[in-house]
Amino acid sequence: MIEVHNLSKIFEDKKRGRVVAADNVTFTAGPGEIFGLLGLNGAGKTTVLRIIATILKPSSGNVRVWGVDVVREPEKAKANLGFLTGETGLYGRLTAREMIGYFGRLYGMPARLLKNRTDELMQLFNMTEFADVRCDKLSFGTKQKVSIARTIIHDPRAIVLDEPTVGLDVITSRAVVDFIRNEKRRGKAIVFSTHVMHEAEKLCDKIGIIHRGRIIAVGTPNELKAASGRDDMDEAFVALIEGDGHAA
Amino acid sequence: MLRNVWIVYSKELLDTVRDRRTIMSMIVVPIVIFPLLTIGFGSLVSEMTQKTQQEKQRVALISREDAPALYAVLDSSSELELATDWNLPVDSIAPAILNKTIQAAVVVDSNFEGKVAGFDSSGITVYYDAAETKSEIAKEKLKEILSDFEKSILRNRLAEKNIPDDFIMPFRTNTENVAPKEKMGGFVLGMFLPYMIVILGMVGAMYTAIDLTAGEKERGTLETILVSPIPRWQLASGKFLTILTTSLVASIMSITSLTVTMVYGVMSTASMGEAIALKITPQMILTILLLMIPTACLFSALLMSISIFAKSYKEAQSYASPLMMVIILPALVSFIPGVELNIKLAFVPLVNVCLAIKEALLGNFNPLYIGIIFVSALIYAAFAIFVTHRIFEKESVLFRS
Repeated sequence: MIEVHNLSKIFEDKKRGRVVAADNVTFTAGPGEIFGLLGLNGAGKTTVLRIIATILKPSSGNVRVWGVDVVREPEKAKANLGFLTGETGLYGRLTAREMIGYFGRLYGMPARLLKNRTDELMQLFNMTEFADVRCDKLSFGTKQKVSIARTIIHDPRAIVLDEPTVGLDVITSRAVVDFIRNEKRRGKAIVFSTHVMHEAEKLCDKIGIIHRGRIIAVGTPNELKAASGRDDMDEAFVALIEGDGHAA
Repeated sequence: MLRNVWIVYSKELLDTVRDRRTIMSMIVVPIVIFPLLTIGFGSLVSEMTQKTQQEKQRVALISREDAPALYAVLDSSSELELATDWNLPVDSIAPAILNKTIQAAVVVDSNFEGKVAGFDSSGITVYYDAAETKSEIAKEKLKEILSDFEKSILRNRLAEKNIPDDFIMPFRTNTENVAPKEKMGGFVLGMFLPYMIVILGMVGAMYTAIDLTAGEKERGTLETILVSPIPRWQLASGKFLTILTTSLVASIMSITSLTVTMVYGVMSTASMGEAIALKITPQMILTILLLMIPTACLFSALLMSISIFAKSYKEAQSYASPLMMVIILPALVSFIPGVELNIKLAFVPLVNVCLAIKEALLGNFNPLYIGIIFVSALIYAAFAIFVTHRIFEKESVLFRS
């Protein structure tokens, strides 16, 4: 379960003054549920995800990961959480195996379990041949696979993915989508952000459209299409956002 | 808790030793480049000075008809070249020296040797350009020649009056250096070593500090690591220990290399080898190592807190470079003669360590001062670690964009 409740985040920016990056955001991703956060660049997706992942502290509201409050007990919350950041940073001078292993150890995994799990993920993502190659020598797609393996090395019950398929080729992209589906089947609570509408439509049980820090619409893909009166997800998204613009 | 620090430390160390830049600043620079530069520069200066000394400077004697004996002395000098064709009015001397036609000129008072022969006193003026090394050397050589010339006149006068030479020499003064050869060695090493430890401790820490903080931001891995469930202070500690390690390794490399160079290089040359020897006792090594730790702690913590603030590698470098300038000054204190460690200086960071290392190499160990230095430096370092930890908690610094 990932429960986001009345979450707000206000930045004090020297140039722009007070910036409300998240404004009273509420949503829930239950067990075996995928919640998609859709929005334009700068809409507040990353801010919300970063707060769930405890990297940023909320100005108000709260987030609970399987019942653990991320502000009060960040270390405990993180143990149950896998977070794939937007900037997929890897340590270039470590090999893929070392990179994944480092995080496994940080999550307190015993050596044997870590090795088995690493091998399992390497096979799952079809990257065994790259296991001992330094990360800065890997292709973009393989890097993303390493990042995802790193994210779920400890088999977390909650997974947060910030634009996991951005910049990937079709094959790798499909591998990522398959992986998300599989994790859903295993009962994980998943939140992910994207601006690829058809991907959200295929994967998500629920979609929240975030615009200027606020969730302006929530529902299943079909509900959203119905609400906007369009039968294409792209069209529905644009209509909802523009509708919000007129209202404001 | 310690397990997490160890995980971070061992990963960062592995990452660091795979980085060519760090290896460069941690091992190659301290072992090869820095001692080479320091000693190379020193020997270049002494060689150039020697060369200038050996050169014959051109000097002129004005009113040579008044001083034929002096003319003969100067003409026969192997150290100077006498401008035999030169006998110009006094007012043309300065321009000639300034345009380097000659390096110095000797002007004797009128009827110089006549007066001298008549047991009278006369005068000599030496013209030279104090802002010109060659002219300065010419002046020094002239002073020596003139002094010898004066002595020979004096001896002639005494002989003529049948007075023994000792009459005008009631006593002689001798000086005797009681410093053992080992102390002289310690003295010379005591000037360079603290400086090297400080500079290399800084250079060694710099790249790693930047790579582990600003570098992590630049690569986009900072966010990744902050999501892992280890507390941020443990992350900061693991990184700190890595930086500390590279700093210490660089310092140890540099002093080992410097000491070896000194023992087998400089001190084996005939001129110095007789007067200087080096005796390193286990106590010295222990004291130096002990004093290196707080210095390295201070640098590591300072550099880490500065570079975590930076957005990129480049920005961090532009913050760290001025710091380098700032620390060179206190590091140079070991070269200043007469500055000794006292209770007040024991609290001044860097200065205290430099002076204590210098003292240790002379065989002086003051446990009180060493204690103060160790504790005070650890306090400074702890403060810097605390600041770094606080910065790690600050999202405005971590996500500056």
